[in-house]
Amino acid sequence: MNFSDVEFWKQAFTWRSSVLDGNEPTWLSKIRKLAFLNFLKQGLPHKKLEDWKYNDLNKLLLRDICLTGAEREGALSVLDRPNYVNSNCLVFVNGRYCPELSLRNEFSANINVYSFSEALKIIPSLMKFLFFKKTYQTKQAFTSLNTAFAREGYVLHISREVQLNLPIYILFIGDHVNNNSLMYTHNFILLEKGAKATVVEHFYDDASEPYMHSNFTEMYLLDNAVLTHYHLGDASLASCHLADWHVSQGKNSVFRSFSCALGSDFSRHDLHVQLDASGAQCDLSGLYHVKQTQELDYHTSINHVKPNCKSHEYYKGILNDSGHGIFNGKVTVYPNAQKSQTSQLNKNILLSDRAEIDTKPELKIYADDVKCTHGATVGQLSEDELFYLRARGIGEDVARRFLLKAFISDIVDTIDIAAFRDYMLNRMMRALEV
Amino acid sequence: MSNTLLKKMTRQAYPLGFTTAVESDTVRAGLDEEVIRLISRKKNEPSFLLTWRLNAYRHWQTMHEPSWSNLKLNPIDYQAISYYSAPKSKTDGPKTLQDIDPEILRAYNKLGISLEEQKHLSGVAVDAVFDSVSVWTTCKEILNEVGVIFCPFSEAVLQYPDLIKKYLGSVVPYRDNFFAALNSAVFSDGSFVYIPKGVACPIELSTYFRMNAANTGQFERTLIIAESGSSVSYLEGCSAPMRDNHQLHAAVVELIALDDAEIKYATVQNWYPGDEKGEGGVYNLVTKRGICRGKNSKISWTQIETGSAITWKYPSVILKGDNSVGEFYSVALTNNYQQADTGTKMIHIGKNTKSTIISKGISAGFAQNSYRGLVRVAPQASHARNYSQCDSLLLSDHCGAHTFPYIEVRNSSAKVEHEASTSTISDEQMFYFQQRGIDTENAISMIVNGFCKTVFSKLPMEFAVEAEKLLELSLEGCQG
Repeated sequence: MNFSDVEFWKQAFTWRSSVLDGNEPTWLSKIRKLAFLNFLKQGLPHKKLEDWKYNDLNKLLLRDICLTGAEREGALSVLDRPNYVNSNCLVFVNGRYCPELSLRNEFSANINVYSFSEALKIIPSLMKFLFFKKTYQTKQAFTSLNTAFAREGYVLHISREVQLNLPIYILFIGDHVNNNSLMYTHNFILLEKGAKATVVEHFYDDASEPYMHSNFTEMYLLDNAVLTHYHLGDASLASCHLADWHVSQGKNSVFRSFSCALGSDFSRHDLHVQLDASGAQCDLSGLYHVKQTQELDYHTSINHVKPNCKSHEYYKGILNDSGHGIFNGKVTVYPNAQKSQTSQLNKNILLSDRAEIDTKPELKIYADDVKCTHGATVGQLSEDELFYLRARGIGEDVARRFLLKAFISDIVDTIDIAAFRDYMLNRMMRALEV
Repeated sequence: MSNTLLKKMTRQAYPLGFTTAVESDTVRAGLDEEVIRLISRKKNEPSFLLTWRLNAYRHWQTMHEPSWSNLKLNPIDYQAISYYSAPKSKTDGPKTLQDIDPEILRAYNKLGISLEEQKHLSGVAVDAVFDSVSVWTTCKEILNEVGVIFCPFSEAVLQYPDLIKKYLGSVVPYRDNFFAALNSAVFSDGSFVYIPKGVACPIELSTYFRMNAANTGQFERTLIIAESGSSVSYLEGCSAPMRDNHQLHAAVVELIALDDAEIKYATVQNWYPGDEKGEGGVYNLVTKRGICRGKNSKISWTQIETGSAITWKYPSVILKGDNSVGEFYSVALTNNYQQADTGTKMIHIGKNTKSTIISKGISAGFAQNSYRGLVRVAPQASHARNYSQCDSLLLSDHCGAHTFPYIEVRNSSAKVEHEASTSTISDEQMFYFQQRGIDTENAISMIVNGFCKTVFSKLPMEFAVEAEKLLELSLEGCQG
């Protein structure tokens, strides 16, 4: 069965309902049904849709998939947690929560960290509240599918004025992944007024077979909350990665996001930030690298709904071989969202003539007292700079890597967790080497 | 800023909105093959052109109006429009100025364009198009001497059919888009320019389009061919009477530059923009494209867009020849309920091709102003270079400014830079002016002029002055 077969999805959903209905609260079954109907209404993406204009949809839609059992028989092979993980850590293997591998310190009652299935049992009313935010009504067909099918993920809920100092690490590991399997994870982060937290999502695997992971994280920041969200997409080149982030921000809240994408044959990242109350601020940044025939897409959209909000975006990409990068940064300033400030910058380096970058910064502004800028550049390493280094006896490969490292360093430096930063940089440099 | 002055300024009347009472020969409203045959017959066209028109019409019927733009269009009833309207003339065509209806001459004088040889702007040849036909072309003698062909399109069809056959539709084929297909089927007149090898056109060429008759559309077609080593500077201007309903203007402009040729194309577009409630106004849905076919060729578009209820226009350059250069300089001003979705496409195909895009959008009242641009670097276009800058200025809290730049790069030696900003006139700026005794209205006008300066400097001198005045007029009372 391939992904584009709507009949397959209908059957899959009926099958899913027959297994799950009864084991899940009825309201959730209802939400899933609505989400699935929304998926059918939206239909699968196609080239004519502005949002999918540049994607090679065959890479996605012609993929074979099966929804049953993600793992093959055999022992886990990627047991080691990455060395930067030193505290609270939830581990998901092949889309399922794995308590044995997770590290969970005793949290105070003010902090809830659960897996999706635990949360449904322990904090059902909160889950109901979160699901009824109606994100399934999105125009994105894949996001609706995620809501219809996802049975795992993490839930983080932090009470008023509680500040979590240590980061929470979430590892999504693919281990002995079954050929063509499709995993769904759906996560929630809710920071109540004045709460503060840092979350790291890291995706990796040992797979050589193609598989697909769709991850959807909904984040709600109430007034004055501060959330820092890191993402490292480092799955094997056989995989396909769909990442969705929906962020809704309260008054004077601050959302910081950093995302680094290195892996996956096809990856698409949709980051949607809703600045719903005045004084909210978001700061999005990212690094991406593609090689071989990878295709990678960052679609960000920021809605300045209320006055006095600030948003800042900074994304950098390196494109090699026949890699294809897509960046779309949409900023909408609503009528009356006066004193909005937005800035956006996307810089790309092309290392090969077969590589392609399509970048589209987009501003839609309906208020007048605003300061909005965007910029995009596409270029290559400077010959002069290379010459300078080579004249000092540095080999060409090393010199190139020096310059590329320098290119990404200003974004890398913004990462607060030193161990994670070093790990990420190390992975990035290794990806650049081969 | 105080809203009152802005309101005052926006309420100024459209000074070119008069109508001219001339008897005209107007084809019945509606569009079918019979109407196309009729237009073709009226113009004594050779059969190849009729076939081309009919093909375009048949293709048009299979197409749909584009819906991707950031515009709100009232549905256009294509059967309610008359596709041909010409002032009646006593003879087969005016031989001398005396043969032209004095009403028409008066209309052009009123527009500030004199068709009399002694009085016209020195150094500018004018082709005057009234509704569907060209009524007069000045300075023909000077141009004949150097071999430059500058004549109404319908005349060129009869006299230079080979050139038309070779180049018509070569840059904008009739299949290109909905409005281009419509134009190809029903176009009535326009200007034709041919600059022979090595000739630098001695004077500025200019076409003035005037839409007069009610319930008609204007569908003109301009074709400019610059042979190797030649150069030309061309300017088009336009206006229309004030009418309550929307009039359709769907033109096609094709430019072809061969080796070392240079074409400068400037537009001062001042179609009737509609009244302050958004009633009436011209729908300006235009396809303009040039191709730098030869090496070292250059095409430069400059546009000042102040009129029209709706502007849908993307003057583009296909940079096919090596070392060719494309330029786009634009000022788009929208006021009241005007909407503009305009920009450019720079398609880099040849090696060492360069393009520059400078776009300035000004939005006031309830207007929506969008920049939509594409820079594409093909895999073989090594060392392509693009610089784009699009700035928007917002003058009221009900208007909108939007940018949709598309950048597609497939060559690793390409350098593409894009920057954009959107802002309003800050209180600090206003304070600075007022402190120096300059009132708000003048201050805005100075700021706007400064904002547009880089584009105005690209216009031929006489028109730069005009453009500045035009902008002042369009913004009069517009202060927020």
